Amino acid sequence: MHNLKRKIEALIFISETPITMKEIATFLTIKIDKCEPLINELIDEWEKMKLSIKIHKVSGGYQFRTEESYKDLLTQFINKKPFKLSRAALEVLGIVAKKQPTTKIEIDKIRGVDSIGVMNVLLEKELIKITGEKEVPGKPYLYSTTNEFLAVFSLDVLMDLPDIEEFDHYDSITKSEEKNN
Amino acid sequence: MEYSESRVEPFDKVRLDIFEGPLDLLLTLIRENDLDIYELSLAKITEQYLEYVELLKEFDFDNIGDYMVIAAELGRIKSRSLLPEEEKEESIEDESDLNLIEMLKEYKKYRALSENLNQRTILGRDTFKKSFDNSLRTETIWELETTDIWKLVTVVKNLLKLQRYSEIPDIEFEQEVIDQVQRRKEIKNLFQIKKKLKFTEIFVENLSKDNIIVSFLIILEMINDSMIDFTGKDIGDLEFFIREA
Repeated sequence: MHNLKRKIEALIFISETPITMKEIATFLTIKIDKCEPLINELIDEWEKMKLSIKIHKVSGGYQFRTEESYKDLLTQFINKKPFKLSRAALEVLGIVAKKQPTTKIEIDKIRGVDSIGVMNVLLEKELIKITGEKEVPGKPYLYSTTNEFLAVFSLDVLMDLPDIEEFDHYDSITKSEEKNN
Repeated sequence: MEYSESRVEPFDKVRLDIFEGPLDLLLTLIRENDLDIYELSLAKITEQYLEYVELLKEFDFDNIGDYMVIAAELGRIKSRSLLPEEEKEESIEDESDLNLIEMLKEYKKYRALSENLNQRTILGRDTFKKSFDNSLRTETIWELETTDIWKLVTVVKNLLKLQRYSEIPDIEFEQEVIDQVQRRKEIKNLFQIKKKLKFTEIFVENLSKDNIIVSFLIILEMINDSMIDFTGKDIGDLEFFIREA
């Protein structure tokens, strides 16, 4: 007889993309409010064991991920040429994340420079997607971030990003330089 | 500026989106000069901004127009700042549709957000999930740019300025043809001999202006391809190094 909590653990373990509470509850035919405390117990258990992996809540679901201290080891193991995201690409991602759905024109306006090259990279890597057309002359495409974006940046929901106004008095460069040096 | 005949031949489309854009350049200059975002600050850094734009023109890339738009706006602000107070009042009417101050303030927030994103725990950089493909082929390993390309541009700019290349083109009799492929090989060879190279070891003395620019574009490409990177706190001690494959 399998314990319900262990069943949930197994489902999270074999899921390729973060598995949602709804998927778990539907499959196990249990109520969501019964599922939630069990998942939270699981997260705590794995956390307390201080292993190299634990359960993370990302992109609206749950996923086993490795601890940050193993990053060098794992990068070496995977031994693959990294895909480089430029700072420009991060800027566009941030703008799309906050303004979505948004058009290329709005993105270019904030950055003061044409962003088409960067946007193509982000589309190709499925960090942003086209979600429709704006009802204005020319019907420009509307762009939004994807679930992949949330997963890659370890965000559960978009709201987890700080409010843009919090950066109003933030001297970004100085801080990041302190971090890098 | 006079049109320079000895422009570098079209380079294989370098991904020049590693430059964030004119607003980023402006913010960088404002910060370097220890200023805040005010009209007066912009007037102060106009000259410096134009120097960069002159250099970027040499790279001959598509987005130069976006830099020129901002340059024109800076020119307007600068000339306005030279007006006596009473005339300034009158000239308010000719306010252009670009409000550079507002643009910079808005842009600065998003630039900070992009750094916030960079500092997050990133899947495929800081944390990893179970791979469902034994060869690990499906995994994307991310690397997020942290280097400040403007630093590199500044060094090149200073180098060209130092050697007063701007005065030379008129007396060039023969247009030097630089073989990009050859130059690329030379630079790669340099890195094979030494793992670390000082800036001056690549940009040796007596390189022609075109050669400096071509070399710089090659270096940019190599950085972009994650083959090399550079460190150095001050622009005086920049050092390039080969990255582990």
